[in-house]
Amino acid sequence: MIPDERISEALRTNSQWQGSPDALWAKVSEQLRREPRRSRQPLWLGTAAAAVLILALFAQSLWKPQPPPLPDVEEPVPLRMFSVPVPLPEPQIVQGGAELKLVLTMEPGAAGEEEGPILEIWPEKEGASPAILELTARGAQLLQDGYLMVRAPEEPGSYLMVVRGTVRDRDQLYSIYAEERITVEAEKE
Amino acid sequence: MELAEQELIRRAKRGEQAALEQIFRTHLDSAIRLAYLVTRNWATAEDAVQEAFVQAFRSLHGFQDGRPFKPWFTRIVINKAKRTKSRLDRVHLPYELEEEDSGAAADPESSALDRAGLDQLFQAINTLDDKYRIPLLLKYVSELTEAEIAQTLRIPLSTVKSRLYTARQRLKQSVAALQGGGIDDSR
Repeated sequence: MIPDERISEALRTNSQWQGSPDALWAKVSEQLRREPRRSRQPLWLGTAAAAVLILALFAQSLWKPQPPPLPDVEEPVPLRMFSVPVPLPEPQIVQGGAELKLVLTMEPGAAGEEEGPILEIWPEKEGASPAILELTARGAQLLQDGYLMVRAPEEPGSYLMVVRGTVRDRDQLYSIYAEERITVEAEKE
Repeated sequence: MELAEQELIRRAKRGEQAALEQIFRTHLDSAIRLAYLVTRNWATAEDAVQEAFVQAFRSLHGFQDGRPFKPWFTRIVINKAKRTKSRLDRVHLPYELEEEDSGAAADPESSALDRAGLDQLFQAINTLDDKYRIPLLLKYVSELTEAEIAQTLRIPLSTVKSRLYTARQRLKQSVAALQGGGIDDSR
């Protein structure tokens, strides 16, 4: 595997900005200063502009097909949502080697997305590599059961167990997914 | 989040210019490098980062105290950069990674070899699909944790882990292919 420092260095040496922070700050602060002036515009001006915009959009929707949405990183998220952290499920506390039931969610898959299915067991630490188990031979059984029984690792620690991939059944492609956080307890003496 | 940052944000919410400027200067470097690596053009990256700071500062009143600023702000930078790039792509402006001048080398021969290796790695990073490249940039440029990347991209932590893992695997293969053979894992 390529070391982390090497990746950081490759990115750093190829992205050295030669611009001026002062000049950019001047632009940002100038734009921020302009904001109050805009808010002092008369109310009717904003209302009229909104009405014209709605009419224009309505006319455009009658005559032209809708343009495709802008591509984004993932689905667009309103800014307000950032104030809510993504909750991580509480880990299930288990003994080493305990049997676990991972309940699968299934939905129709898209052509060209075929992969796996696989079981990944990620140790919960930054940059850790997973243990990967191919489940291709058990694909049909997974669809029928709707779950996968797995054994927890023996080594104490926190893990994220993931089942993901696609399964084909009579020309229909299904995408399957399951995720479970576990903490394997150290054996008590 | 550090106490100093919380205090800065509180002051910035009250409209203190000095606090806003300090936040700007703290986050500028990683923001502009990230925007450049997404847009592959410095002028576009500057525009995107300028817009991102303005939007972030205008939305600061809705930002919840105690939350880390960086993942929230990085999300804005990524979206601004992607939108600006996509807008310009549609009018067919050329997008080329600009030549970087990393400065004079102390030992020209070994530095040239090292530089060539870094360039190959960089080239490999740029051939990655955005699905893998963006999490990689967030980790190595923005220095976000995997949990913060998940929060920034609104995807499960396992997906982040998986994409980073796949990205590193693909980089290894691409670099090996560019070098025309095996790679030295010991580096």
